[in-house]
Amino acid sequence: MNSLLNTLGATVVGSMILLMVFGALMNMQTLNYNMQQQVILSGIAENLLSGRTIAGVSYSGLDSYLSKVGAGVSASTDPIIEAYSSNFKFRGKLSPYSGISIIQIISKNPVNGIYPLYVYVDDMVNPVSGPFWLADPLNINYYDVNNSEIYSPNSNHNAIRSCKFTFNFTFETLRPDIDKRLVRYPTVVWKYFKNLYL
Amino acid sequence: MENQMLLVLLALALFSTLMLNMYNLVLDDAKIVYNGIIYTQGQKIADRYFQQIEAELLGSNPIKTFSEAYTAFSNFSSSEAINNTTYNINISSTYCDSLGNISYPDSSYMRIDVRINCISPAGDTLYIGTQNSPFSKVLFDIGI
Repeated sequence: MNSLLNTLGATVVGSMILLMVFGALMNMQTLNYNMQQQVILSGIAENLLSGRTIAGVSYSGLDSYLSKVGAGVSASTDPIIEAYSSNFKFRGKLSPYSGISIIQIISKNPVNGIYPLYVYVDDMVNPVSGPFWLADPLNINYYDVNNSEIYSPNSNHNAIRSCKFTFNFTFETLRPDIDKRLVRYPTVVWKYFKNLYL
Repeated sequence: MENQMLLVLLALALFSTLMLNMYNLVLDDAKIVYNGIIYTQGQKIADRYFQQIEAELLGSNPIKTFSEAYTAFSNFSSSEAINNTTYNINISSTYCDSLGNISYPDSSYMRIDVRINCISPAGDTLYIGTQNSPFSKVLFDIGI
């Protein structure tokens, strides 16, 4: 009888330990999975910001598009079309040989709580990039020549010389047991519009 | 004490040690990943100041002349709070030659060095551009 009790006790304790071990393993798997997603998300976001080359074809990043603000635009034309906190639309030549393009960077209304980010070039219906998903709307701050923030940028296009873009990229994970809002890549980039300084 | 219970306790001790070690390794990996994000952000901050200096030197009526930019950034300090991390920024300007060598300074060339440090959420002090290896850019006064 005593031996049977010991065996039962050991079984109970052993089961608890096994549960603990499996729980710990699953936690570690989740941590690893999130880290993997984090690295992938960071890579995607940086590719969007700085561009990438796939099979010999170069795709411009936001940095490249933003370098073109006002490029080749005559003094009589406003190089900036719209300047809001989640929408920046401007004119510029994408190459010395092209016409003047209209480029828009915008985060739109949320879908299931996350905000799609699009980049449009000339065709304002079909984006060249996007959607990229943001946990918060794109936030753009506009600055004047003295690096002072402009609080009504769309009424003061002439004063704009640089911008600060705040992104909070997020990944919708495939695992339902992982909080999909957990994986994020927050980043801030600045862009000085050199054509507007000339 | 019966054998079964002893074995179970032994297993508990062994698994706990293994688990702790594995957790430690995973957390080390996580630290590398999340510190990487901070390093990347630091590079963007350095780029921001390079852009600013270059933009302000542009045009026939620049915001700053070459010597004014040199003075403004000769010993410049600032800080930037981004995503709960405060980046301490230190910028210095030095006259140099065309290769950035300060042994033979020429007032037509200026080297801008950017050094940033911050404390990560894990409590580590991260150096993004150091005294010996700063982010550097050499600018030339084209005299427009």
